[in-house]
Amino acid sequence: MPFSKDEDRIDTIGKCCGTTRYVGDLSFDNMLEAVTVRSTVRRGKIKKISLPEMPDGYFCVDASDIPHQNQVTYFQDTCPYFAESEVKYIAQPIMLMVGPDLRKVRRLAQKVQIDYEEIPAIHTLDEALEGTKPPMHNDDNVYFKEDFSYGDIDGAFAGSDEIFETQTRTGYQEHLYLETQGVVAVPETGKMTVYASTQGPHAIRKALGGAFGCDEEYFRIQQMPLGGGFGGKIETPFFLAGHAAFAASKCKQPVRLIYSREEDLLATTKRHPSRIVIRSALDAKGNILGVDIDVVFQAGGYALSCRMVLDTGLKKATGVYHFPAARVLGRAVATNNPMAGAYRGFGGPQTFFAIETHMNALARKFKRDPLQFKADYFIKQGTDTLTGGKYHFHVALPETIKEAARLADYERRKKEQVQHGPILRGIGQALFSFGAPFSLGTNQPLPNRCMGLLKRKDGRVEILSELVDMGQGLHTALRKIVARALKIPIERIIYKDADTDRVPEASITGASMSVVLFGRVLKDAADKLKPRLEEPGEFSVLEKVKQPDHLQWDPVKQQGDPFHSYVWGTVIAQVEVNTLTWQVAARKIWTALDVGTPIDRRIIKGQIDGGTIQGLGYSLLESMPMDAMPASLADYIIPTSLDVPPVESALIANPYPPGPYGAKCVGEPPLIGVGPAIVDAVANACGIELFQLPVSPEYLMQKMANKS
Amino acid sequence: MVNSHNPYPATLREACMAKQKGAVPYAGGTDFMIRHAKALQTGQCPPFIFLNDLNELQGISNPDNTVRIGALATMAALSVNKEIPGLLSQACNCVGSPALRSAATLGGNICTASPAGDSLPPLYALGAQVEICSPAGRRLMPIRDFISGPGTTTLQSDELLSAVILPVNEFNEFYHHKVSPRVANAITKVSLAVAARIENKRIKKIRMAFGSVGPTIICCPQIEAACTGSSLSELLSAVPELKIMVEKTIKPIDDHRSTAQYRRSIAANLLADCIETFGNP
Amino acid sequence: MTKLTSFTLNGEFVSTKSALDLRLVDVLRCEFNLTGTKEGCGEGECGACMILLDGHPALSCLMLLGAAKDRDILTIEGLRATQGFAVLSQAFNDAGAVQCGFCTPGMIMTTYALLRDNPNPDDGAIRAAMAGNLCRCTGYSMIVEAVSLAVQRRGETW
Repeated sequence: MPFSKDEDRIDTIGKCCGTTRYVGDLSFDNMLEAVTVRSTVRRGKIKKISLPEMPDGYFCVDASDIPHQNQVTYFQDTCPYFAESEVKYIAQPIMLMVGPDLRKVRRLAQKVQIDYEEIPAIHTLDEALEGTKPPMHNDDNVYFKEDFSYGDIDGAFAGSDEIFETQTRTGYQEHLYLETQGVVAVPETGKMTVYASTQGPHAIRKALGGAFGCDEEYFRIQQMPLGGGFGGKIETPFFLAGHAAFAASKCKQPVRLIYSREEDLLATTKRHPSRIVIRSALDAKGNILGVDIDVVFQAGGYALSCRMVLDTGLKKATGVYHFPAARVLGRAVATNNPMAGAYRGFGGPQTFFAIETHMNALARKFKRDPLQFKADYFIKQGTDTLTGGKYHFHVALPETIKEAARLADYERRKKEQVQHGPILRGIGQALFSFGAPFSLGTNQPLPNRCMGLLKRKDGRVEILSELVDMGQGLHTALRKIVARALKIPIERIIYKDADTDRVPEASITGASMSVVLFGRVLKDAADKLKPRLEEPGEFSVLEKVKQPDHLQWDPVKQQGDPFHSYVWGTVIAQVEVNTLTWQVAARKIWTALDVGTPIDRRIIKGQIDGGTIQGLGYSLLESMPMDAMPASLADYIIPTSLDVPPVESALIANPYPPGPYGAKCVGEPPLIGVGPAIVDAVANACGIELFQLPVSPEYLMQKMANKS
Repeated sequence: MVNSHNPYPATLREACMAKQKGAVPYAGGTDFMIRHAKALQTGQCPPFIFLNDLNELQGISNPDNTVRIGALATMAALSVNKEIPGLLSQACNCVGSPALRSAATLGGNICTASPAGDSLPPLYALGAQVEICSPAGRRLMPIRDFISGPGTTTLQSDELLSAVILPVNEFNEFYHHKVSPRVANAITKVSLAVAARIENKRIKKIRMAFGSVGPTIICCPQIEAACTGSSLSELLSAVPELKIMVEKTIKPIDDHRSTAQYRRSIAANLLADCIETFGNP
Repeated sequence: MTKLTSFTLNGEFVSTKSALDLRLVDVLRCEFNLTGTKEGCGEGECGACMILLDGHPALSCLMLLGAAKDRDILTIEGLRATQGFAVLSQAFNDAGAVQCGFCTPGMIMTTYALLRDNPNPDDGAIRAAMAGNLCRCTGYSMIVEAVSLAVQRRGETW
């Protein structure tokens, strides 16, 4: 193995000491504080806005203060920075109050009177599809629709002896990064610097250029250390950066905008709720002839990234299986709800929950061992993808199953099942893959996207990259790759938080592509720098971003290889169900994961542990109504140290040749299989099928009442 | 802030007078800070008085076969103090997180008068009395008469709750169960506290109180009467009827934390669990 | 009328003229520039604002400045000069207990007090002590491991 030693993370000591400065810790002379005035209705037309009397030095900033266009240009669909004539969800930003004293600013914000003419609001994805309320997007409330298929799906159903159908539902999940969203915008001579807690510094710079109608280089985005991201600091920061920049531009003073936890819960993006119907066409022996999957994702008042999230979820909807025929249809629908967006797993947690729950239920129906039952349909190297591409490399799914089963002592633990008495016990499993990154339509180098290495006079090498360490350890992982390629100690590799004036555009940090794709770009850069390392002076080597040659993708026809690489994994979970209260406690979770070559096992363990527990929260605790967000952490419940079971994990070495030293990704995959594994375990304990996340005690009690 | 008074009263009397003029008492602050969060954020906090310096509100003592708990006793202190009946200790140890428990006070938990207040069901079950003081003097009243509704008490504007008085040795068996959305640091969905005197496997006396299943803590005089005098084996066979009585006695609602149906069913399960615990020690 | 609120802050006697109805977390962060104390929720749920008040873990977002009068307050900035902090931070490093780091100062305040009062806590005691410190990155196990490591290494440190 190329990386035998775990490296210390240089960010650790500052974080322990409390000296690491997050955006909320910044302060500037003459800095003003900003508070967002938000919609209090779900849907309506703004009839009248009455402002309080504004004291000297206090300002109100709204759409009329946007120099060019009131549209977050990052998004393909309409999405205003500030509502002007209509609001589409509760807590939609309408204006900012800005001034030196935060308490006074909040008082002024409170005094803004907004009169609305309310319109019947669409509360759920079901309402969006039923069409009983005035539509909010086209005639059908569908922001985006897409389908994929292969084989003779109609023939499969026509020739079937039986059709087996499941409908699964999942709810919102909040990222709940501990650091709420925040930015500080500082006007300077001929320039504006925006300090931001963001996963995409260059994307923000572009968006600001679009809103101001000016050269984006007018803006400098300094990414500050992130107190967690999980996908939640991709979309929402566009709004904060815009708002603060409009205010700073108007007031000609630094403006700080930090969300309270209440605002963060109410107004930022969440994981898309879903409703997924899967129908299997079965022959008389119970073989699957074809699978028809209907996916609906609930988006909010604006589409944001729902095209990409749905698209990615759909491409994973057939799971780790290749059926004789399959059809996948997906729709993302508009509702007057909090906006949904990118979140660790990116559509995968919903579709994998659906397919694994369907397959596990089928296995139970036929009284087959689920792993044996599912094995008949496993993807193998050379199998076609849903989109007509190929799985080009070794599929290590069977190895992950074997390893997870060994770790869990699965055969023995299956016998620990208890289906009667005060405490029920069961075991469950789920299989998953995670394709990442998305393929592009070209195998040519992307001209405007690159990574670089700066050889400094002192012999140290700085990584020039906008990729963000949001806690996942990316800086350390990429430093290790570069150090190894250059054959110099890691201490000589420097990686600073991104400053768009210093580092070129590469990508938003997300979609688990930072190591597998950009790590490779950096390795290539390092290979070029290596022979020049002893040259005097300061110089840089830039490497354009380019996807591996084996990929064929037609973005218009949506045909070919959808993803670069695939992580394979198995999760086994053991749970106990308290029949007094119908509370479910996970006793232990085992995960075996093929991440290619591990770059740093301690960092990977951190990702597996953390992703698994975030998945556990999604599976058991993190409940909220389909149509509302709790405004308090007392009501949005995430696991505490006492709620989590031990997580035992193992890595399967299955190097991915185009990745840096064979590495794939690890950020998102550990969350994917937890939901279906937990549900399978509860089903195993209780002797019923469950189709919903989270498995709240209320839901389980009701299902058990129906059983008896 | 418009404190026309001294925010640090030196005597209970001074505190009562300030309260009469509109000052809000601040003890552990854990409820105060949440209740007045919006006002604090906008600098519109009502005037307040810090009670922490008042010795009269401190301390735990044992006068006349009772336990007297000063209103400022914290949840953390009550969790570990050996003088405190285990039923109450256990419930206090279920409140919030460790740091919250070392700030939150018993007096605060009572005066907040939330149906989800974790100390309340044990206090009801144990037959606690509250001591109320005012410039005119002190008076005692049962806690169940003191709390008049969700968030409301019979405390007058010039009165402060100064202590809680618990009888001791009245009961010899106890049951407590709190059901909350996660293991720790969470608001109660439903809870039950039971105190019983059991002699020769027969219920001599029993008192029970449910939390979070009505506008206030729910007492169950009819169920208590039905149980009193029964042997444990008779009780065990009466569980189905008792569960129905529970479902009829409590008044749960649907809210964002749970459903009425769940609370009703689990409350009944808890009583059954209590009887089984008593019956099969 | 100017009222002074005096207290001990990281071992030093300090006084402030600030209004008594400010939250302690704001006074620490804005007036004393002690930004190691974080605000994660402002409602006492997450523990990012944990300080030691007279030696015990306390939520500085759920406390008015006025309630700090005559008390002894320790923040991460005061703790980090101690040997105990050195042991804890090294253990946090070695166990990989720090990801985004936003919960870390609060976690360290809590675990410092735990190890002072209970020199040899088991897994359950560690988890119980940190039940009010939320972490979204690690799933807690590596933090618990860090504290166990600190228990082994602490010697007579504190």
